[in-house]
Amino acid sequence: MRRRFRGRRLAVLALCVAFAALCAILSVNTVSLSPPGIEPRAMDIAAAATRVSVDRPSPLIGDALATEYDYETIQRRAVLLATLGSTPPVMDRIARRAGLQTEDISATSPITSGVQRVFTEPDSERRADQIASEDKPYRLELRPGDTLPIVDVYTKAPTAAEAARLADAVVPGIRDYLAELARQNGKDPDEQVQLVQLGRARAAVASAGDKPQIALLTFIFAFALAGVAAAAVRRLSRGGRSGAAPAVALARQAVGTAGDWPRTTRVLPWLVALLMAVVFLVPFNDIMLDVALPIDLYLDRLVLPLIIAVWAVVLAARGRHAPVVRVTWMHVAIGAYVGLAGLSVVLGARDIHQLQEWQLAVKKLLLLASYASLFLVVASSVRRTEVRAFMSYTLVLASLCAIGTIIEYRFSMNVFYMASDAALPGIFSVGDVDSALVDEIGRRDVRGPAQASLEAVAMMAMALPIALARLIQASERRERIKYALMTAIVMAGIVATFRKSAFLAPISVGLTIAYFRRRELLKLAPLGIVLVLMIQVLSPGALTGVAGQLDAGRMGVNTVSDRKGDYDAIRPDVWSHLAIGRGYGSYEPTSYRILDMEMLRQLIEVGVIGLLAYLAMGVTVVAVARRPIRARDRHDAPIALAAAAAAVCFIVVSTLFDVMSFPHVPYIFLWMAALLAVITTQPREAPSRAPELEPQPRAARATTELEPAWSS
Amino acid sequence: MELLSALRLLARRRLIVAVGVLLAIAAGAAGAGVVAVGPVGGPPTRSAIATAEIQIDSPRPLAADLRAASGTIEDQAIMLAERLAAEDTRAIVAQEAGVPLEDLAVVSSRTAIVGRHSAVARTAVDAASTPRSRYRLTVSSTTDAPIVSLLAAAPDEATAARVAEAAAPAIESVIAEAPETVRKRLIVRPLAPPKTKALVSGDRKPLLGAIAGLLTFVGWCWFAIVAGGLIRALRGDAVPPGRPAQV
Repeated sequence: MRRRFRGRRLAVLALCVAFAALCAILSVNTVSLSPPGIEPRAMDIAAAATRVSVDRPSPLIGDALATEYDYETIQRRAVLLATLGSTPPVMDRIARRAGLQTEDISATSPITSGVQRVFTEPDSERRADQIASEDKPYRLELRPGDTLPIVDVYTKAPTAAEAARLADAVVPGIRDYLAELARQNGKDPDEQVQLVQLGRARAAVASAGDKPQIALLTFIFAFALAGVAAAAVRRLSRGGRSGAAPAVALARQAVGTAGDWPRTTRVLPWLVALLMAVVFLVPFNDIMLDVALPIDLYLDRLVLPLIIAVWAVVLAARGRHAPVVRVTWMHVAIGAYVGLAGLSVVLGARDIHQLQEWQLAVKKLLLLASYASLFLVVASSVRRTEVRAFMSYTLVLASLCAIGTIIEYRFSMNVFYMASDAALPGIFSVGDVDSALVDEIGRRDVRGPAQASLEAVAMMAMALPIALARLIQASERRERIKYALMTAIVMAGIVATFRKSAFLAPISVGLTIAYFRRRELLKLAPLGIVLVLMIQVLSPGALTGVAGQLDAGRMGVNTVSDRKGDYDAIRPDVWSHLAIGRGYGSYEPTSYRILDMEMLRQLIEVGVIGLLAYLAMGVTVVAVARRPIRARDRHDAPIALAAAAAAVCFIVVSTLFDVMSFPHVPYIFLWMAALLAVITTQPREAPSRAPELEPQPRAARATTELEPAWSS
Repeated sequence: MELLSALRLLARRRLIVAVGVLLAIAAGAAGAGVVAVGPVGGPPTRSAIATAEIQIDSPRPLAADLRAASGTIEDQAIMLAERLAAEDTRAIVAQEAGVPLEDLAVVSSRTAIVGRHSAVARTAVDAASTPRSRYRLTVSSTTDAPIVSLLAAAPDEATAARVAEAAAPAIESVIAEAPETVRKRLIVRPLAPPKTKALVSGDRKPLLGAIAGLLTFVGWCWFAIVAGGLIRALRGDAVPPGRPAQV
């Protein structure tokens, strides 16, 4: 019977592998049935670059008496020539010189003059035009210098020789056009501007590694998809019953051994605690390992892989403290989103590759998988009896983060950057920060350990409900004072960032708590006045400063109008890939348009379905948290309430900035969700003692080893 | 604590650990440069670099004469530095340095920093910034001062110095191209003789070898345990709870 079961399992595995292999082959090859054969798809992309200097017939270069006006005049002429270079009359001549068809070339010349970036970003019409010409095999980009009379020429073609030929054809093509224009107007071509190509175009094949990566990623996702389908069929055939594993898991995690964090010798909880300390107190996204490697090794990318590696080993070794994976709706939602993100990349692989965004998409996808891994690791390795301690720890970290942010606001020094720079060895390079810097609408750059002020707001706002939930529950005066003080510190840290979101994010937290705990919150209303005063004392002027920004008269500032402009500008991208998007991580904002809203980016990258899955992550957390909140259990309810409010806050801040580009935010959201998963899946028990801290007789130790593998 | 189970597993599978040790020794030897494996650990290759700086000056020395006009001198320096990459100027550099023209690449460092705004530009810039040439002259200039920085790479120090020195006459030739109508020409002043440095790559690196060996061993053990766990899960083996599984 057992052998038959194993045989069936191996057969399913073989089928999954065969399906995945077939998908992988089809992703990079064309298969024809008549005549039967497989041919590799032509997917090579080559690129070339050269530069062109523009000068007067009597050269400015070398003339000691040339003035700034002379240079400005000739620089403007360079801008004109670059713009003309992408118009049909000049394109015809360039194409003729390169031996190509004009209709096969898409040409652009971006605006580089000294205006704010928002004015140079493509609107919906220009973006629609760009999308329409994206599938052309040849691409030419003429970028004039913003101060010098130099035009950068970039080309893309199927082969390196063609890319170089196209780039080298630009100067002769423009010269042909200018000469013809001079003849038509009866002018001497020698009296026109002079173009000097600064070296022959250098070209190279740019996508050598993409093809195997596309095949591998396709294999992984097809295999995962087939595996999920097989598991679903198996579950259905059993009438929806799960196997013995959950029962074993529940039994294993009934009693904890090796003590609870922080009184434990288990490695995983300590590693997780270390990561959270890094998240709240270290500007890790500005700290990089100064070693030449193919990937940028930011600080979190050193800690998180270590945690995942230890978790995988402990899980595989199945010792007494092995993690137990229990699937919740949150697992399903997060898994579905990661799966959809991967699927969008796999389905759009060829387009993403053609747009030369493949490496970026793969990098972002790996980053997303690492975020999800944190959730999986925490939800399976933290014990129910440890959750309260971890929540307290999170609150302490958030308070320290807030104190540092307040210090930055008051004294214009970022203690997080300073401490990281002083503490880390020289092999790490810590980025620079200028806390006295002021943006175009007069706001200081107060960012704490984050990369941007909004990120700092989101970090602290997601930890704020822990303090509020405990404040509501506190029965003793001492506890009330403690949590009120922490609430005030975190709130003061949030408003110290001087951003409008410093009101919006905490309001979302407050409203969520008010929804579930109306009466209790009303009772705390007098405390609210004290809180406002405390915030005013801790971060003087910040509260009124933020309130002033919400004045209707100040809503026309760039940060608001640019956001409004994004809605219209992204229409062509959304409509061209409505269902599942153009591929997760494939929309490089600096290449197209900087979107100040994660939702819009999700809509472009993973489509409507992906956006719904993204929202479902937050909604599922609230849905799962509802039961423990309603049960009003002293232990579970505050944790669930904090997680639900953090999830709502995550959704709200997703409408304010591109949260997934700032890793602190998804880390904290998934951390809170994972702690909620722990309390909703593990059965209640009395806090365990720490037997390993007390020496045991040899016989007793031997007995313990034979006991069931209690969940860690 | 949890890692004890993994260590116990390894203690029972000494053959796997022994294979890991062998692999670690091999990786360590390759990393240290003792054994040649692919691009790692080959015979040492020697090359040289030379650095030099050239000041672009007005007829009245900018540093000494306050009446000297300096309005566009920084822009002029950048333009002249960029012109070194043009075919005719590159030919002069090659001729002055006595190196074959087809083996000389002149690269502007501005190519690598300008135009990273689109995917096409990024890819093209990467392609243009890494020419495979025997001789290479990298030119840098900024708007801060009218100084052109040069970095020449060649198989030996003397040639590297010659390539760096050849830039000054090449820039002078660009200035001289201007017709007689030009009122006053700029002056090229090499600031000092080129500084040279010999480079040896592929030398033995014991620390790198030790790191490579350690990482290989740890990676192998990790793989062995995780692969064992996966195989067991696929087989559907039931392991008595609390007992470490077999690798």
